Amino acid sequence: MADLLDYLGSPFVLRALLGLLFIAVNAGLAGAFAAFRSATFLISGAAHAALAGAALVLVAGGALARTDISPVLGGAVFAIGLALLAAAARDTQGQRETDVTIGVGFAFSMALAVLLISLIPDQAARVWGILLGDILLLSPGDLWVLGLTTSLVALCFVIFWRPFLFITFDLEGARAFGIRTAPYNYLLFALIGLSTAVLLKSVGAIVVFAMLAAPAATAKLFAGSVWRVMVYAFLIALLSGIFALLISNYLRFSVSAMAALLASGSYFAGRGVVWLRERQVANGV
Amino acid sequence: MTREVCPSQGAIITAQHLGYSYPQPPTLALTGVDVQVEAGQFVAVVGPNGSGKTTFVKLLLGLLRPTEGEVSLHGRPAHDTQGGHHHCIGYVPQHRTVNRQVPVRVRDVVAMAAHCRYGGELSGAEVRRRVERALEMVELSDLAARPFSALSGGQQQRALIARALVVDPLILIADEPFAGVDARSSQTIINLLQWLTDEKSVTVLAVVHDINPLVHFLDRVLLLSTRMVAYGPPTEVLTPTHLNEAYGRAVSILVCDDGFLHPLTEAEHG
Repeated sequence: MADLLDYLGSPFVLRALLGLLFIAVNAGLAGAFAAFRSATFLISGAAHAALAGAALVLVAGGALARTDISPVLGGAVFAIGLALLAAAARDTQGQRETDVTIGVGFAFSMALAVLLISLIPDQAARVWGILLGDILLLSPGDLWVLGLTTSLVALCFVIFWRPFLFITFDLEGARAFGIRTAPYNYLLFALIGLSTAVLLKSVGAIVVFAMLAAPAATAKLFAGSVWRVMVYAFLIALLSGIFALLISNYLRFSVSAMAALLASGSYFAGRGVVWLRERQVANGV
Repeated sequence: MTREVCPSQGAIITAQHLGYSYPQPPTLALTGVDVQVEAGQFVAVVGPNGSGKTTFVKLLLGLLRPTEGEVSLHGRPAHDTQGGHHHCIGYVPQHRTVNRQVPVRVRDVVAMAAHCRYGGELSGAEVRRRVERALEMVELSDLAARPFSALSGGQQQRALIARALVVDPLILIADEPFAGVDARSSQTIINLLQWLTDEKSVTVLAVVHDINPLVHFLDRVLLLSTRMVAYGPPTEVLTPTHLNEAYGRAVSILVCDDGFLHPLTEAEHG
């Protein structure tokens, strides 16, 4: 017990807990709206676009590249860029081509990242660190970036809550009722891209989807209102992280990987429960 | 406020040589539409699939900008979204086109439009009162707290009509409000639309696939087949010549005791 208390009281675990709180807020906001918009693929795409941005900052060098937060900022620019392209994408018939744009952007960014990393082999570990992430390695500076960005994202959702909800439910209807939908649509996608990028240092590009999108996907299976989806997504992300921290104290697993495993596992468990319920209803139980 | 730009008498909707072509590849969706809709009229837009009905609605709502001619609401170009005349419009989309991934409650759907239109002008209590009144009008008060996606197609359509009514529109534009709607809900919707035009002088323009349940209540019919085939009172538009021109040989026409010609759509044949 004393070992556990020592572990939980250590600075890196306290920073991880605070980081988890910020991650959970992002899951409840950006993750939920990505799920509502059926744009969860954007989270994977933006995460990998961020790798290219981080690599570009390091290749550019200079004073900025020597700071801890520069790869994250570079990544955020690329992630938001891809998100904006996805929001704007339409084919020649005016139909949305969000998925295609994200997919192509994903491949383009990964190729660019690998190419750029080959130019700076001595700093490759910094970029690959973003690919894998580790919540126990969050520095106070990382926490500041995560906290400020999360506050910005939350503030935007508070201010623009109603137009965000309207355009998500009925984009064309919102335009017909006089909302200038394009700026809100771009802002919503940009916030999803930004949330994704700032989570990379803690959970990594590979599993960020599990911490951002999976909790909302699970919540949608059970929640009957928008607020409940957001609260459930927040709790699933937070509890997955806390359990992962506790488990990792005993089994020495990667906390980020374990948290992602629990968060994404909750989705499959949820689907199982839904399937069982439907089966019971079908059998008249 | 901006509703002052919406006079409640005279020509409400005016289209002159209206047309629209989609770019790349250039595809003509609609051409040669000349209509004038007066205040309080009930107008149906009919035609076969791909005849330009939805394009016409999008032009009216300002979602598309005409590539030919012009369309105006209260004398202002429909695509001029800053003109204030959009504050006079209530729009009812097909219930199948909204995003059911969002678990919103029925009263939240209706409140969206009220908040959007009135912003901070109304208190929360007044918005709730208007939402309840709109839900009463479509007979959905009992289901106000239910998730929208849990309703039947007809109930969802009525909820979307309530969303349009909550802003007290002078013009109600509905895109296929009877699509996927059962007979009971259809009758509720028809009665409501008729009441709006007769008692509230609301101008109603509805795109419909099957005109037959509505035909007795209509003031005007716009028959489209990529171009305007005819526009006028139902008895003048629903003639064998016009219907055959619009639908080709795919349509059968019933002459009923009510004195109207009833075109039978493909679905009814099936």
